Amino acid sequence: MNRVERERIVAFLRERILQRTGLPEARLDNDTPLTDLGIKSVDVVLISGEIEDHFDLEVDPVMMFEYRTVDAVADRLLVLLERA
Amino acid sequence: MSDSSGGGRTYYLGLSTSGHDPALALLDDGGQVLFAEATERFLQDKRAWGAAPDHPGHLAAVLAAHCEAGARVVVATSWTRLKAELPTDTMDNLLPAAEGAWLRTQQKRAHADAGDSLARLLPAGVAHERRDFDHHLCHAAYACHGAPFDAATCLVLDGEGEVGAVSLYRYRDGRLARTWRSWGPGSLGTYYGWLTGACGFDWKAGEEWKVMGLAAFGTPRPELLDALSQMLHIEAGRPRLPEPDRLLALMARLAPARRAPSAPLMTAADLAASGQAAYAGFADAVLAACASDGQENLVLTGGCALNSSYNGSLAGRHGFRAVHVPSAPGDDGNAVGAALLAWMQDHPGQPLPRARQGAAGSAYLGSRPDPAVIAAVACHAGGFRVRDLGAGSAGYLAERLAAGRIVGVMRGAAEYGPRALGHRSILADPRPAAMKDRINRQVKGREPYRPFAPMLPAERVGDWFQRDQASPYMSFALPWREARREQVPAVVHADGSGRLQTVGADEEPWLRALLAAFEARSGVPILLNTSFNVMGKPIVHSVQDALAVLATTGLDAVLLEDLLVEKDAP
Repeated sequence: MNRVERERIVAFLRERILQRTGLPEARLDNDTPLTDLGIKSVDVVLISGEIEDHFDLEVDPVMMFEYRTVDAVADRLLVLLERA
Repeated sequence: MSDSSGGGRTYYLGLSTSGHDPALALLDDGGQVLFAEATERFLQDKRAWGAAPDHPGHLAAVLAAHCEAGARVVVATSWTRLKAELPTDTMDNLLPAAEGAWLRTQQKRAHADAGDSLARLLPAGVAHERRDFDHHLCHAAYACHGAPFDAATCLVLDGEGEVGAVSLYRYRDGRLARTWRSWGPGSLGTYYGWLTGACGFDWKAGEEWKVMGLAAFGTPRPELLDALSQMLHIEAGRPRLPEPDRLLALMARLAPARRAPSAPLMTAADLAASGQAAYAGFADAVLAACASDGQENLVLTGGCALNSSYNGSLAGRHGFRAVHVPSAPGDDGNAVGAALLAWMQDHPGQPLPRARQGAAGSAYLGSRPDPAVIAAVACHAGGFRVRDLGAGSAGYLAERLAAGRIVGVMRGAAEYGPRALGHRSILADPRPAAMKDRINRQVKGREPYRPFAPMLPAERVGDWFQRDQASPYMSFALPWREARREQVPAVVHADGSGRLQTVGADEEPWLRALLAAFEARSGVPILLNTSFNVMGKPIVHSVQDALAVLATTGLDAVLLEDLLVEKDAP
């Protein structure tokens, strides 16, 4: 169940990041810090808001800056969703 | 502090820690507001930028007057974090980068050490504890606590917040739950600040009023409105900024319409009107995402809820049954909100405390004039005619006002929020058309176009205005009835509106008596009511402040409680 859930979260994050940044899909590594990919922090913030709305969670404004990769953010969201 | 032992008691000290409009509020352990006041009043420094909300002198007087000795104090602030901790490019870039950096420094200064003054003021060994609260939740808690509803949708429409400038809450059974919030830059408040600068005024001085007032003299121009309406787009209620290049292009299109601060005022009238119209479009789009079934009440708060011109257009639209705007929707109001939230943490299962009975009652939370200084005035105010009017003060004052005198009134507890509601007000006869110019020029030192507000009994609104709506805190500008406008020209704005204060039948007996006595003499149940200050200064705080305005302006008299201090007629 957790693996399916995690894949769903990763897919959502990748889709939102690609949509907001126009980055080619091949360049979006799940284990590379988003800022190293040239993603602006304003986009990181807007994606945080989309996560909050989509998963109906309270997201901390610095979460995406602390858990800097798609993988780390997905793991963090799994924890938050289990707690929620 | 009083001598009785307060060892078992807990007080809640709410502090507004935005860096602008600092304020403090004190709640008792029953959740009742004992006192609330903006720091600007105590310091007599408008908006009190950078001042501590727990300014030691201000706080000392409040604790002495309201707290029992040895009590515990819980400090509650109105932000959960320092804004400086977040990356700067997530901030709104409608403002110059330097101003954004300065704003963050102001918040850091106000927030970081909030509550430390207690260490100086409380007896040794009395610990205090500090808790930080979500900024928009503070706005919502304060606004709903004074609302005349048990259930509502609460929209916070602000300059900024913890993650974005808009939050929506559901208020049910004494509890607030967030429905959604906006993230990132994109803010109706910042947009209005930008517009204020474009019109040649200064948002840092709180001159958004000047734009709102000026808008009535202009006409929205299609080419301006088109560009302004693109400066934000609203996605499902969330305001978003366009891409930076796009925003720069829009600003370039609007550049020729900007007014230099030294240019004639009326050259910005069309820009102000277009900008206000674009604001209304944005706010309507946000409200469209707060759908109501027609039975829901709306509580509107946050700094944007001071846009009385837009608020006045809300009745009957967006499916809301009634609208409540509190007396202090700006960040000063958060001092009460934060204190309420701290109280609720300590009283789980209990609902949000409600404000004192009576709509207007919840606005009079501030300092009272010092009776010892009033007594000294009676002895020492040489050169003025001084008389104690006693119980007949309302009738006598009505007679002086009807004779054309302009009188500053300082009675009872000061208002919480920016509007003077009859306790710190300059009052005058609204019938002479020249009264507006006289007060703007000789008393307040303001621009000649600036309008004045009417005060009238709540049950008379329908006789005088096109809509019958309560407005106890001057939150709504409504259109006057055409036929009535020539009777009270000094309080009719250029667009035929008036930002009225309604006084309910069971509220404020002295103001009710004054309005009744004035009607008996003049035939109109309406007085001109403007805040007791001069341009650039906050509303008067001490008796000495009030007498300084009398001695340095064309004000004719001051009423200190029931003591009238009057100049000879010229």
